[in-house]
Amino acid sequence: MSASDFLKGLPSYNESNFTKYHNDGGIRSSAKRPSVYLPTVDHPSDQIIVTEKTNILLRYLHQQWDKKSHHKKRDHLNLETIDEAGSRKRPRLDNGSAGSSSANPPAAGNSSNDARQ
Amino acid sequence: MSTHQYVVTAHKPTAVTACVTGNFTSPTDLNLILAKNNRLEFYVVTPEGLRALKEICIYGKVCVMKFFRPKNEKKDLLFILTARYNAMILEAIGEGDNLEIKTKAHGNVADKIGKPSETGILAIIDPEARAIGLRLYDGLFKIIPLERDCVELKATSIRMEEIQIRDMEFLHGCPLPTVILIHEDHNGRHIKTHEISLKDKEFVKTPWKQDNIDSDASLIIPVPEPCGGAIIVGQETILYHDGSKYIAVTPPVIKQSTMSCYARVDADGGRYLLGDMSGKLMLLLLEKEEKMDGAVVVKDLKIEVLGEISIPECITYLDNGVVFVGSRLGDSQLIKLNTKPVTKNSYLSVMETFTNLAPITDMVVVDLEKQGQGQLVTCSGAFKEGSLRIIRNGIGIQELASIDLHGIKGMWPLKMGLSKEFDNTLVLSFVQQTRVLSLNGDEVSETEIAGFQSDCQTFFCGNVSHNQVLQITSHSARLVATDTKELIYQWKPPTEKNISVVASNKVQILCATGNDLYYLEIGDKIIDQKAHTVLVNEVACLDISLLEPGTERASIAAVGLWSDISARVLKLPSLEELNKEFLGGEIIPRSILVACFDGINYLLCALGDGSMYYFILNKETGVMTDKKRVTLGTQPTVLRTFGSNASSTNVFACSDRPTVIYSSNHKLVFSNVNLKEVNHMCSLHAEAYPASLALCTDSTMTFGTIDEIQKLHIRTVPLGESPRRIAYQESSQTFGVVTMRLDVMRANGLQIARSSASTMAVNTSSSAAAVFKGGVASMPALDIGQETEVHNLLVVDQHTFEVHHCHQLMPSEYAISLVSARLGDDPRTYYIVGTALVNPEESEPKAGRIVVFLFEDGKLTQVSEKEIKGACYSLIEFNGKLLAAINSTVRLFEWTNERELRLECSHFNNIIALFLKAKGDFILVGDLMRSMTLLQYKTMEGNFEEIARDFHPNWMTAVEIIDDDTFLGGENSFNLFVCQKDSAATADEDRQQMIECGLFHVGDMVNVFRHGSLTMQHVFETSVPTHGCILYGTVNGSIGLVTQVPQEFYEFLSALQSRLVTAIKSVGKIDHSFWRSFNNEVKMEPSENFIDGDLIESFLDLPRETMQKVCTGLQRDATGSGTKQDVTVDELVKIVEDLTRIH
Repeated sequence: MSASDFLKGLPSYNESNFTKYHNDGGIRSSAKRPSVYLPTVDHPSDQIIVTEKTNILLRYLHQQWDKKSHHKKRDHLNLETIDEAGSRKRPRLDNGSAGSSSANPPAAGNSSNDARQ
Repeated sequence: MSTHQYVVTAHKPTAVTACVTGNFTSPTDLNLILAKNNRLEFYVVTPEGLRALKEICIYGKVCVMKFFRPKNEKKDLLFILTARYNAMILEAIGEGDNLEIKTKAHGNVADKIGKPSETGILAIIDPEARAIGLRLYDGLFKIIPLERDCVELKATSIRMEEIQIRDMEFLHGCPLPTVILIHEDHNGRHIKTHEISLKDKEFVKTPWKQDNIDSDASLIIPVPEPCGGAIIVGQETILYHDGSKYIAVTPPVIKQSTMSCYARVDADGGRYLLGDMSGKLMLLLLEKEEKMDGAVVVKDLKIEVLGEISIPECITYLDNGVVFVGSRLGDSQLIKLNTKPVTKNSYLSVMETFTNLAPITDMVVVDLEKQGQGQLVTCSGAFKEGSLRIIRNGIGIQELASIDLHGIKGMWPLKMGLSKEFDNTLVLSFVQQTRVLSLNGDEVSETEIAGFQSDCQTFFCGNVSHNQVLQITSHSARLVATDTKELIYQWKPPTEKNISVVASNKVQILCATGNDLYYLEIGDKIIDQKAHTVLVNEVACLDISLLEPGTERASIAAVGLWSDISARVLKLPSLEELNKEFLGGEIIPRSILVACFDGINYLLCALGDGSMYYFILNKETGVMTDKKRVTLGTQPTVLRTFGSNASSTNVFACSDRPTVIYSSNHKLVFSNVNLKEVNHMCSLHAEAYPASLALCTDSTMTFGTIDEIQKLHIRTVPLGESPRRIAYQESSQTFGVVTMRLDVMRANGLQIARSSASTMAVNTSSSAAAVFKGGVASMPALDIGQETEVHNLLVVDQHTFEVHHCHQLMPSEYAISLVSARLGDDPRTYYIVGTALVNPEESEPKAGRIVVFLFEDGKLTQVSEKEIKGACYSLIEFNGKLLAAINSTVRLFEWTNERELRLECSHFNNIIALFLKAKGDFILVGDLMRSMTLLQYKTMEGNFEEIARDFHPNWMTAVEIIDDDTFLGGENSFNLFVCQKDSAATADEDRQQMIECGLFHVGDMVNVFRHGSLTMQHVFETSVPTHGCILYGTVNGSIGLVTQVPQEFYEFLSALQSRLVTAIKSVGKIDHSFWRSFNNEVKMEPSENFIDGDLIESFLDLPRETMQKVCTGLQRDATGSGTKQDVTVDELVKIVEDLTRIH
């Protein structure tokens, strides 16, 4: 296949585009510029782009925290269903809710505690 | 001494940094949008080609510009990110003249901390418009979710393991936005993909990756559906990867250069145009096949070279095989792809080129014609696009033909015989003789018209009513039939006196014999005398031009008189005087003209000394108001009207400085014509020379066309290699130009890669490779195919721009400075080149030379050379001595009687002294990173004293001395600043410290400052007290100027500026104060003591009611009396117009 075949059927959005182009035999050289647009009417913008100011590390820690507590909730649900399993996750759960005074808090209390974090 | 600056762009940036195609202004409009530094240009594709819509100024340097289309939308939106991290989404509303650009969303996405990436800002948009991805800082990926219903778009950073990212894109057809990137580590380059969860704002998984791809891979092309995946373009391989498998090809054609940009041709991603850094355009084809299960997969990749284009920065496919090539280093182009080769190995034809001055690396201001007007000659472009550009304020004449004819006193075109449309005859008047030329096609032959009197000078000739031709000589007015060419009527003045001055249109004649003035009307085969009057003095000039198109008769006549030097307006047909105006002085009026420009009637009266008065004329009352004077030349001036097009009036002022007068924005504009002198001219519309002018000098008659009215006229002298430095030498009428070309190592040694200015010079010479004390100038060891820089000094003729001589420097010797100077008592003027021997192993050059050349009798000879211990970054003439910046030192050399350079003294307190400027005994030094220092040369002691220094850590790109105490600097974060020395301070410490007293963000890198002006100085009576003029040239090809304004005027402009800031809304909603604030890596401070002239001048483009609003309450103390007075809109328009006339 040659370049000629490559160039067959180039896309056309409007067949008439460039059909009346005249360059008087030579290459047209242009230094013209469009007229300048000077808006004097203020269009309020629909949206504002804001940059999250939170430190990326803090946000990461928050995210991890959220994930963990999310896991906790799920673990609790698991715990309630398979209560007798003697899970090795229990000590970690206790460590995680370090602020809690109760050694073995009820599920509901723990989740409200999380919400406050 | 003034510390207030007015800075304005005289020529807007021309480098195209980005281009995109999409449906922006309406669902059916195909738009092309170009980004040129801080300006956007909007075009629409039409059958006739590109039609310009609007140009928009953004208050920031555009870094990324991309179209995207939200789901279910019919139009594209434009995303823009600036260098100072302002993001915006723009939408077009309304059509045609009501087109408005709405900022849909905007905000700053900068982080307080973070290391800006060395590979620049990258911004990508998900093909399904779900999110925008940004890589601004190393190790961070910022995501802007494109939620439609939120008022806030929250940009969030995600940590990214990959630090060095070469390119990134979003993949098509992914359930979650998925980024593909090329990253680099010590093992090489790799590709990796990241799937993004917009909800959690994190990378959730890496769907696929590929380690160790091409070691120079730097371009990713995402492939749309149905195939998906991406193409990765490297130095040697092109790789397609869809996540599960890949195809790699290694076509030899891509090895020679590096691919820099691409454009998708087909919507389904079947074909791509690729452009490389050498200016080759290639087509990449994805061969697809359909699998049994209906899935379409890529089978093979094929690439073909289509031809050569300008070195591209960006490419975009428009329609029907037409492609826009945007260039930073050369002229941008509109090209057509043809299925059949146009020439051998080229399938493309260039349709249009777009003039680009960028990058301006150096420039000089010269007054070649000694007309009191400077022109700029710039070193523009790079590599094969390198050129010299001659930039001049004025109008160009394109010469079509010329004939040697001496002593022409007047000329007129005629339509003889049956010709209705075209002029076929030209009447030329000489002293005591009239000759007739017949124009037959492009043949010009002499002929006769029987009815003409040919043994005397003709004063007027023209086609008049009733198919007649009128000839007026000193004896009579004659009517001649156009068909038979026989005389049909003759009118003679009733007295014996000869006719001295005449004027006529198609039906009316004014004829003067001394003080007597006759008004005649032309009928069928008759000339009727309708009125006669005797004037107080002899008539010097007359005019009865028609003021209104479509009318046949003039209702007023203009007369200029001898002795009392007056311009008078007479009523027709009575010849009754309506009004008179004494011009003053003793120079008689030579040419008078009434003309209507832009609906305003003017009376122009040119005098014998080249000056001209002009008035606004009331054609009913003859009252002349708004008297103004302008100097057009130094010789008697003849005013003639001509039509560059039907809708507007243009006047040609023939003199030793030919000028075209036209109206722009309801003000008269005087533009130089690029011809040395014109004695007479007339319009000519002949078959072979349509819409042309005939112009004559003392010895030649020229047919030519006039450029469309344009202020800055740019002429290009292509060099085909990179120009670096330029100097002008008046004594030899030449320019010295330092250039660099790339030669290629072949099996048989270093070879010229392509012919260019240095390889085609009339004479050549070279510095032989030699070992000398300072270092070794030897051929670097090169592999076959490797390129190396070869530096040359070219001597170029100032008139023809022919290269008289090329001197090639030693291998690995780089020429980095150039000056033309006279030294000591030596009467000759030398070209002096400063060089560096560059060894890639050294952090900075340890050796170099200063070489002195003499150009004489068309040849360049080396007169002297001086070895130096470093790179000579700058050379200037300093009181008959040579001052050089060599690495960290500034050194002064004397020129001895033995014609050798001898070191006199040195100054050492710099990191790298890059720039030098001098005034009197003072020397301003621009340092690489330690701003500016002022030195004084102590003549008695023969040494330098450091007077003052700016202690701010500015990385300099150019310096200039404004006056003895004030200094201008340009630094590499695109800012300008002004420093002042404080000689009055009592403490030594204070005196040694320069005070920073002006700050401004110009938004482009200034490479060079030069004192000089592009307009004629002191031609206009101006209302603006500007002082001095420093021109600057930038990396993006813009030319600007800095001028000083007094305190009072600064305060006035400052008030106007703050009003304009509120009146003109910023597209993208970036604050003007933010845009112009001085900003670099170490500090950001508000703009100070600088006026933004670009904003001030946009006042003239505002609608009248907005002008009025801006003007209300604005006050000025113009007289210095201490009381401020209100400024009217008209006064303000005049002030701003006068400001525009300084460039």
